[in-house]
Amino acid sequence: MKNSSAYKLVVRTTCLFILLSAGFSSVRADENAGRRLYEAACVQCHGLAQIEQTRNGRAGWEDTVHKMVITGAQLDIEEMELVIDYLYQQHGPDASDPMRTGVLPFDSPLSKDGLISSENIVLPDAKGKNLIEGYCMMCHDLGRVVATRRGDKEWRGYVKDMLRRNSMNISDDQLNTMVSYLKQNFGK
Amino acid sequence: MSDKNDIKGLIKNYVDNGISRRQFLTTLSAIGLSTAAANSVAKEFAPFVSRKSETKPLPAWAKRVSGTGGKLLVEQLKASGHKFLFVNPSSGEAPIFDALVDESDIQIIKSIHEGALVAMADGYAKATGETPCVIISRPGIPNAMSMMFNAWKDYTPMLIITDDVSVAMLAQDGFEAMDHMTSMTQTMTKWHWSIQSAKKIPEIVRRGQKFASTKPCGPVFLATPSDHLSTKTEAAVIEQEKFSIAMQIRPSADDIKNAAKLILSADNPLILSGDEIRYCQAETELLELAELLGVSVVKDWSASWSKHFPNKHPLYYGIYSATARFPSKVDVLLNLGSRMPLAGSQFRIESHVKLVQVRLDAENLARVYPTNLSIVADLKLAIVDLIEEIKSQSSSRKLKRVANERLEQAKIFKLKNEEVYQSIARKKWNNDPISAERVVLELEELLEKDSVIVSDNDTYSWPIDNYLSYGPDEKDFYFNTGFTLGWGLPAAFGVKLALPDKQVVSLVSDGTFLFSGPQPLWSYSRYKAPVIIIVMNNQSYNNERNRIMSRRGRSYETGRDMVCYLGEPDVDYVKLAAGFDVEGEVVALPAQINAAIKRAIKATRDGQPYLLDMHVERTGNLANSTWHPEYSIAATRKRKV
Ligand SMILES: Cc1ncc(C[n+]2csc(CCOP(=O)(O)OP(=O)(O)O)c2C)c(N)n1
Ligand SMILES: [Mg+2]
Repeated sequence: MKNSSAYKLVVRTTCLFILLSAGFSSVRADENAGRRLYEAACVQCHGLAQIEQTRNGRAGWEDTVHKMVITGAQLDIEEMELVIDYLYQQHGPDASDPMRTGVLPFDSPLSKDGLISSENIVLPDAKGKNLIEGYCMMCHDLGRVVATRRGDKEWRGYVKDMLRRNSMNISDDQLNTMVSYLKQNFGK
Repeated sequence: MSDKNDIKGLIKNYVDNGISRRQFLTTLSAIGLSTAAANSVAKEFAPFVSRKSETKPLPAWAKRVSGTGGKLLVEQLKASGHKFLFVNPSSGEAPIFDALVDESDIQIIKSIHEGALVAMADGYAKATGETPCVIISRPGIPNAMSMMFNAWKDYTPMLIITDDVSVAMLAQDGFEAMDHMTSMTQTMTKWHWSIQSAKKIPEIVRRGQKFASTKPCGPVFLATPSDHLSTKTEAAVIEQEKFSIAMQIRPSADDIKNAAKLILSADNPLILSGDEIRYCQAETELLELAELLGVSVVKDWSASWSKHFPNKHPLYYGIYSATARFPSKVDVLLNLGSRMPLAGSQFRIESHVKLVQVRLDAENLARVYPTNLSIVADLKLAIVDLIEEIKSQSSSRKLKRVANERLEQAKIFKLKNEEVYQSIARKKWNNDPISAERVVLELEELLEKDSVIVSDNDTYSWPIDNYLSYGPDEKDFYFNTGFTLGWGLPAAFGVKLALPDKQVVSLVSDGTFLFSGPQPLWSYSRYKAPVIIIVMNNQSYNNERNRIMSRRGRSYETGRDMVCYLGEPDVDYVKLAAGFDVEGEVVALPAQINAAIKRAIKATRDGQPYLLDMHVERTGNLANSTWHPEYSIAATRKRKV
């Protein structure tokens, strides 16, 4: 059962549920207000393309918006929350088009037999594969996971931060499983 | 027997009164002439010897000095008001240092890197308004030029002097020499000059200082062949004051009338203010003008190193943006002494906006932006006149009413702005690694109210701007607009040298620190500069990485930070400081910040510099990445050598 697609679905749906319930609690009635504020505040300094190519959890978008407000985006507290909600809804996990990696770099762990595109990635079978697929692919394709070998501490930092950005709590066991899967297959 | 040229030179020296008759005779004998022959040569040239100086008394502001070129240089620098010389020596400059042996009015400040030396002088100049003098060696010029760029961008007055090869060796592609050495510095100096004789040294130094310190100011570079420094001669040294120009240029009454009219007819005027307010000491007048009209004040994000408007005042709201939500729809933009926002192919100003600019720097006034009214003037005088004219064109009741309305709106905006900043800082309060917001708020609580922040930061420039209080009775702030990193640590030394009775904090990010290297600490230690040095250590070129990632290119797609990670090696800043006998400590956890800052404050009170290696968070894209493209030279070896 653990490697089956049914399991994968369960993980993904559970994650989504946690995410959505966390995020929607603060959504205001006027959904257009968020969009209008986003368009007014962000374009003061830069274009919107870089935002629209990004997927993030609500806490992740909060980081971004906080950084932008500190650097001059004119939003008050309430408005800031509306923009975070808007970004989360439009560019949250499982938004229509997750971030794509394209062709993997020549020295990525899976490129041994020639260059491959991130769409054709098959993860090595091992304990933790389903967790990786379930969680990571909510925001980006697997290319980002397998493109680069990383050290132990770095993988742990990544996984914890991705979960934090999506306000997800998982058991220590699950966290360790994910980290050791990444270490084993894509470690340094 | 010496050659003909030696005798010629000797005779010239005698005739020009550079040496006495007795010296002349002794030297002639020394090169082989009999006493009789020497006497006859002396007699022959006697009618041409210029009349003795005592016969022409000099005015009180001038004095005749005889000695080596080095001595003349020192005497002129004294007459030009220099109390410090910022030095990294060359042996050709020996006569300068010899002259300083018996000189009690000038203190040498040495740095072990010329870039640092110029940044020290830059900090000193910014804090005093004086024109510092930097003395370096020829091969040190390229080092000095790194920080001359910042000085040039900030209009910092500065004299930079070096010795060239001897006259005989000029243009021979000689030792540590190149042709047209002074012109290397051409694009970032107001003037560069090669001095042609020992006698000319005081004159050229005065001229250099005049050019450097006449507003708009800037660096001046002088070189003198080394033999001029050792040649003995006599020349007049003249007080610099006789060559100073106040540049108190008053705007024309017509221009001020028109400017006032435009501003009074505007619904939503906005003031963009810049460093020329500081240069003209017009801070009080700017505040009065803003309050008179209830007009908000902004700055351009990249064009300002000083804080010339109190940042917690309701009328200050930070960084200019053409389409800012507040205040809505600006119709008149009044630029008071700032560079305009970066334009490129697109003006950062809406087409209906009428632009009025007042600047000291005529060259950069209306350089890029089509301007309705351009005024070259001293900012203080211009603002004083503008205030008077506005008062005369409008009734005080009307002015008060409009100003109050605007002020009330501004207060609402400012309050919300402060609330949002505080709420963000609260959320990040316990972040581990430490958030910059927390560091800065702890500083706000613990530092003296009128402390001085010398900042050289990228990512953390904004929290440092937003969370600390600046103003005439609050903190002061120094930065640069050239953004050549490596300025912050040495510049803070220069500021402390200028303001020993102020609490000075050097806030530098790790990338920046490593650009200057720890070398400036040598001067901190040698001269006991009690400055709190805080390294904002995120082991990254954090903002650079975010800018690279924001392009959404291959680095972003693949999650590869190709160039910005600074860890491995994890630089130990406390050890670096210890190497220079400067104490310090690592601050790794948020709960440690407060006590560590207190220890730093205590150490500086006791007269010592103190360094805090503050382990702060990376932010934004790939913040967690420690990956970097690996390469090992050791592994490529075929021989273990
Ligand atoms: C002398 C110099 N070299 C290179 C640059 C380009 N540059 C701009 S920002 C930056 C990195 C700054 O990193 P850091 O000082 O650590 O700032 P932070 O991590 O807080 O963003 C670099 C290398 C520069 N401005 N000056
Ligand atoms: Mg850094």
